[in-house]
Amino acid sequence: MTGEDLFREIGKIDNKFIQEADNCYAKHDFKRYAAIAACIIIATVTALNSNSVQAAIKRLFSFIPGIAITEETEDSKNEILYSMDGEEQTQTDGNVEFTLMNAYVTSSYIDIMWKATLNFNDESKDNETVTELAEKYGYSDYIKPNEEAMFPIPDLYSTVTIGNAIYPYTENTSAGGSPTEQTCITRIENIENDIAVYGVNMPVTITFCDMTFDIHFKPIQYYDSVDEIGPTAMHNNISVTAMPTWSENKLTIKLYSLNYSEFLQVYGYYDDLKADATLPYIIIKGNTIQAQVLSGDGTEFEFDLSGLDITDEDKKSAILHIPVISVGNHESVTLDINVNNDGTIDHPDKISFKYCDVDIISMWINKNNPDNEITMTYRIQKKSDNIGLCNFTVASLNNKSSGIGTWKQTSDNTDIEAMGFHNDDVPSKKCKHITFTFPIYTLYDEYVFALN
Amino acid sequence: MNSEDKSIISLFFSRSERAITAVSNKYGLYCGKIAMNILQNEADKEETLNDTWLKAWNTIPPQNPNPLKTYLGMLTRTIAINRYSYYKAQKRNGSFDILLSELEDVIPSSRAEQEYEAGEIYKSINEFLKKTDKASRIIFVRRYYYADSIADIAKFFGFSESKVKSSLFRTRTKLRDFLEKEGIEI
Repeated sequence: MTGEDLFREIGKIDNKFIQEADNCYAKHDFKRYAAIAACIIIATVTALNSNSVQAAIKRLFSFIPGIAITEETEDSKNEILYSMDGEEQTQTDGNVEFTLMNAYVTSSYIDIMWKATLNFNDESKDNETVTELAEKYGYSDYIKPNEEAMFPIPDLYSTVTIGNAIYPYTENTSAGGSPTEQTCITRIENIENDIAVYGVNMPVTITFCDMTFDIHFKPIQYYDSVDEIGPTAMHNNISVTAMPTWSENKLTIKLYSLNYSEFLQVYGYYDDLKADATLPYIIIKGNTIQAQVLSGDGTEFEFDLSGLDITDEDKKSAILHIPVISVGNHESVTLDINVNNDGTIDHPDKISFKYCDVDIISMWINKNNPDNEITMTYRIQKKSDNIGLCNFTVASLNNKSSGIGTWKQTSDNTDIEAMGFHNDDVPSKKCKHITFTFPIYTLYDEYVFALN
Repeated sequence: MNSEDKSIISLFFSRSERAITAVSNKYGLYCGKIAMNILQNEADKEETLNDTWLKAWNTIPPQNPNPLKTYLGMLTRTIAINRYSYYKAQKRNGSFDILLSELEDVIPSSRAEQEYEAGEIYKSINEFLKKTDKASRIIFVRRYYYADSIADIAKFFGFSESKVKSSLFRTRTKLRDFLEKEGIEI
């Protein structure tokens, strides 16, 4: 037995242990989770198809800052009614910092995102000490020990008011963080009557440790065109809006896409190691500055402007370039092969995805590999200048999709790539059909935005 | 199961391709971390994620996993370790190799060369984890299920790295003794 075998065995342990470790640990995913919670709400309206481009329907675009731009049609409605009016704000009494981050109202509930920094707490404390300190500062209704937690991460409670209704010391719907800092969402449900009575002027407050924020809302903003929301460019039926946020020495860009193309999914930029200059860049004040990546899907990145002494005029004349974006597509191709006794494989010369061919150079059974996997070398051939193929996946061998292991190897120096794959349920020498799927294409039409 | 996951599962059951978008959006970071911990390579991570979504597409239905998150994490872990198995002959991933060498501490040297009966040892590990204190158990699972680095575990929990290392060392030693007492042939 090897360490790897034992690692595989540990993969089968009870779910409760896996969840326990995850629940206790999920703090840094939290901000993303919070955003995703809203994304899920609007997921049903974001994936549009080309038919909607063709249809002569009235265009109506909504912008939910930090979340998405969506287009509403007669068939789909955005469920978020109001978003917070104003920026993130913080209060402190020296012991605790309380930050109101964001808030959304749907037709049935309100979510308030907030952050608490407990300056008096850290990992060295125990629950008893934290409780004593909370009482000492008068916070005991808001900060309570969590006896089940392995670390002194207390449960936090906030009081929410909506009009005359008070929701005292309400437990968070979800929270994550460290002993010192927690980010929370407080959800108040069944607010249909409040919406009917107050509408967007719904008077909402949230209080934590006797610090209170009034929360003001604005309706989700609608626009007749995406250009009105922010700098927008469109190629290949994919509209991309680049929303800039300027700070003293930094420019952050968040991309919002509207997908009218046939592609299933739009990602952000793609860092193609074989191509030159695929990273986004800006030209500002005569300088060309490359982006630093913030999000894994390529939709958020920032530029370090320190030392450039940027003026408002410079900002207005800045030009943002996004040389490539990547898109995933749902299509499959099947390759019929014949494995010879000596391990060589008779194969067609190529497989064809919709926008790229894959010329197969060689295929063989790798007898040195414990799984006797099939190895394939190939070269990607573009069908048009502006679409490349950066990835595709092995879906099945002999139509069996379970137990597949794959690897892929690319090189900066050659256009020949290699991949290997096997299926635990299909001996490679008996393999006759290989199905490849989910190509991810790189679209080389550069998006250029004037950030004025 | 929460309502969002129910919605996602229903997308899978209705064979809506939006299911892929939804799981990718919601669980991409979670699964990506697991894949990255094992493979330490962005391109491999992305491939592993693609394989994970596809595997989910091909297995839901008939599977109706609850919780969805844990199921996706399990798929990612399996796909990543399979990919690692091939890579290890070509290109070592130093940090994951260290993790595996730690696990080899658990295996008595006299039995290291023996075949083991796959599919049984985890039951004893479950028994062991039940009897282990919560803090040690979580650290153990973070390290050897999620393949988190010691530095990450220390950072997230606000411990020193040496504290995490000593906790893991003690748990591994106890696990080895437990497995020996159980008569597990590993």
